[in-house]
Amino acid sequence: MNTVTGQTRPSSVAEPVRRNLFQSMWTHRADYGYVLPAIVVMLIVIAYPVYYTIDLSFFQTPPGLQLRDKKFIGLENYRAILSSAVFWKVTGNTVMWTISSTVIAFLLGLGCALALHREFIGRGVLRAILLIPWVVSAVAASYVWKWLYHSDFGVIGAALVSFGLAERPPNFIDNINTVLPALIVVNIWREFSFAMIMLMAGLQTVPDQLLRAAQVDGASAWQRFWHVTFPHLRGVSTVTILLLAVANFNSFIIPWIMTGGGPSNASPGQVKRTQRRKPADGWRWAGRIFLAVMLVYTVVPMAWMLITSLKTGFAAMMYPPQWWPAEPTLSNYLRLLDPRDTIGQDFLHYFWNSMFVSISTTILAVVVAVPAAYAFSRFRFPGRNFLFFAVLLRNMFPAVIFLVPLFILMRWLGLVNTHGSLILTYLTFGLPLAIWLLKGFYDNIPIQLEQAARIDGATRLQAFLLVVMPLSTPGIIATAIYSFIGAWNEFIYAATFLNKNEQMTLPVGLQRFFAENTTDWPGLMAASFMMSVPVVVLFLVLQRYFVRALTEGAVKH
Amino acid sequence: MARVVLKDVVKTYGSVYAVNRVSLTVEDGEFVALVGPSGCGKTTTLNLVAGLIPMTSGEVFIGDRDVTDLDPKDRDIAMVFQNYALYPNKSVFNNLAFPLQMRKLAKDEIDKKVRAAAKTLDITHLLERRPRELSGGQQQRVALGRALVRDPRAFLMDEPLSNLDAKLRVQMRTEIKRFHQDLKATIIYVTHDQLEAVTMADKMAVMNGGFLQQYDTPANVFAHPVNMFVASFIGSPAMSLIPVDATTRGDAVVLTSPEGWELPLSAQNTAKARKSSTSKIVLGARHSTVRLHHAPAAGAIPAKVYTVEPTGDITFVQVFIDGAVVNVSVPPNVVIRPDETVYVEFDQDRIHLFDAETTNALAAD
Repeated sequence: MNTVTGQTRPSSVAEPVRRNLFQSMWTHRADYGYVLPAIVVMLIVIAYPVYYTIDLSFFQTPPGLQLRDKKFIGLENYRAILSSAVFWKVTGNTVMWTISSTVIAFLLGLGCALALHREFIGRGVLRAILLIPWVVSAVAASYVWKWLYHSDFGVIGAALVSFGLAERPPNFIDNINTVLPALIVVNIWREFSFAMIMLMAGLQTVPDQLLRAAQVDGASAWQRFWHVTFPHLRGVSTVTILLLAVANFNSFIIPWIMTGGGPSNASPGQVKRTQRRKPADGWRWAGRIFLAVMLVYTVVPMAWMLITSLKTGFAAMMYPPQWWPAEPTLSNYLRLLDPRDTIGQDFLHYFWNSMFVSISTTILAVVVAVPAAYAFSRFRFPGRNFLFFAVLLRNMFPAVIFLVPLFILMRWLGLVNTHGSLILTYLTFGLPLAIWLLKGFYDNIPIQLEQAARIDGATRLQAFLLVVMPLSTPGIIATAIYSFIGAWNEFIYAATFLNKNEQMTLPVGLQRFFAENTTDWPGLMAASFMMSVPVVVLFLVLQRYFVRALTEGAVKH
Repeated sequence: MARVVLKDVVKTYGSVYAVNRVSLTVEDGEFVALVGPSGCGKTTTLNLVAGLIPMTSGEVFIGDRDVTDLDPKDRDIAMVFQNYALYPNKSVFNNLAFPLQMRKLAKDEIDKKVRAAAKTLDITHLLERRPRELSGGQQQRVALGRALVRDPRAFLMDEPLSNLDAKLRVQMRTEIKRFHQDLKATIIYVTHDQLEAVTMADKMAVMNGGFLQQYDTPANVFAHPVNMFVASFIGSPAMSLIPVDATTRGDAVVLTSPEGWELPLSAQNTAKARKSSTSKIVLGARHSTVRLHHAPAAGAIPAKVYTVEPTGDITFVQVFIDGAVVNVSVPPNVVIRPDETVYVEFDQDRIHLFDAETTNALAAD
């Protein structure tokens, strides 16, 4: 008889083999290769500036930033700042701005997501239109809204007067009481659709069976939302609110461009509640009306940008405004695209610079993010969690505080006034979201697929390239869109690192271009429109991958 | 085909032993089932043979080659997964062709082999489809096809039938058995379903807690389980186990219960009972070896009926003896009611005795 006597007693268990950290790291050495590019980029663009900023904060530098002459003064800088009244007022404004922008954008996004969840004719088109503001660059959005708010020729003021709500057009931006709410409206305009797209993805993962069970159990529409849907969205909501809050806390472009510094004593405005309880059969109507209002909010600025861009400079400066151009003209566009005109030359130059920087960033971001996300998902190397969260932390730092240290670093690397400086910096914007998104994707791909491939004769790398990567295409496309949009719209670093005209990218070029000549509103609107076209078209064509990537990847957990 | 040998294979995760010094030999052309409850280490063992996870210590041989340090791709094995693991973005044809493409075979040769495998499994009409367009049974066939397309040295199968519905599972069970007979294939087959293991395998390796408990033919494992775990895991319904005390009375040993009944043991069983390390013994009996009486009978123990489950050609009765559940099968025409008191008679030649302390089976010599 061929038997082995059973052993079930722990006394026969040998001492477990304990291996130290270095041995374990050595065993996993190949795994680090996958995350290395992402870590190196992050170290350069984040770790060094953080170190530099902290270090420099203990010194005093003479005017002109002569760093050789810096003097150690300990915590004196901190004492000065914390005892300054301006610091606390600014901080108060920022907190107000962050909280109201985040809360309202989230609620509006949630409302849209819920209203768009049910299938109806034209839903896809509506969703696409509502998403456009998120893609439009902050610079273009700022100019468009600045024009809408214009104290003499602004369409909002004119509309208020013609509806009899005001005696004369109010000046929103230069009034201490209205400037902060006015800016928050712009900010929410750009941001609510991000919350919408995230929550729509989240809604798709709410199990139908649970909702049906709740219905059978006698729950009303509101109760189903409150007890089933909303708890299910908790994870997505947390991530969304966090991302929005961090972005808002660190945002800079909208206030800066719209007010040029603005009335510094701006006080917070009143926030109106838009959500109200309605009887159950009214939900559908409430949803429709809500969507109609959001559609107006989304479309009016874009429509007004287009209409203005078709006017002559004279026609744009009329009060009351021409609601429709009396003599529509394409001359603003023709001038921008005319290579013989100096303005056209510059514009086309900026355009190609932006293209080059954005495409390079996108390609590199995919190349760096894909293996890193894969390694974070699959391999169990020491330090994995730490590195993953370190990567996600990137978004927590405001761009502005890195300007000086990064500029110094770029100068040291010889990258100032080259597109390389921008590509390297932009690479880090998209990485956190890209790695998070793609990791979710890889988590959902069964490991047996790779095991099958390896048994079928593939190496680990081949299994990844031939089997896993094609399955994450939606995630890769989403990553690419996100990186491209981020790079295309970036303003602050481009304005800092580049000061040669022939190298400028569109957002900066746009600003330089028209700053001395702000009266040419139709030209500015035409340029803003042209600048928005590539990202909007790209996004509209590929947005379904973006939603799919969120649903199948990250949001699922 | 080749034989597969595992020598003192160990896999630890931190301080937990997933597989603890498992040694076994699968002869060329043999069908071995690795069976055990979930978490017993059977799938880990299979993955170690495949080389999919690094081994803590031990050796694996396939044929005469030591493959311990080889990559899965160099071990020349094929594997069928529980969820089939078909490449979702490839057609059925390309799924079958993938292992051959990885081995850089010529295109016309790949085509020929894929079509031959497809013909064997009767999936030729599916070759252009995507996996998601196939039913579970069809996907299962494609997964098998991908395994046999390149005649490997051994087949590893990880619960290949557990995602199928009951009817299809029985059908595929027959087909895999036929496939094994026709190809004289060496197969290591992981399953938690002891019925699959008993019906298909030449030998079964019962695992629990990372240890190999027993490795033998299904008939021997069934008839001579080495310990209480194997006894209760193999066979359906499970073997009934009743904890009792062994008391020596003159030459014989008598099993006694706190409830007051006594059961004198036969000479052979007395010899077994004397091997126990303590006086605590567990009495084991399969349902078919136990008889029920309505009235007290010599050597029968009183018990209370708990449930009666007619299945058509046989009726299972569960009775309580001292708080232990005992399964008994009776002919369908026997009338028994719940809560009735009955008398249970054990067949002394077919009971099992276990040492309650070590849980090992007690043998006569």
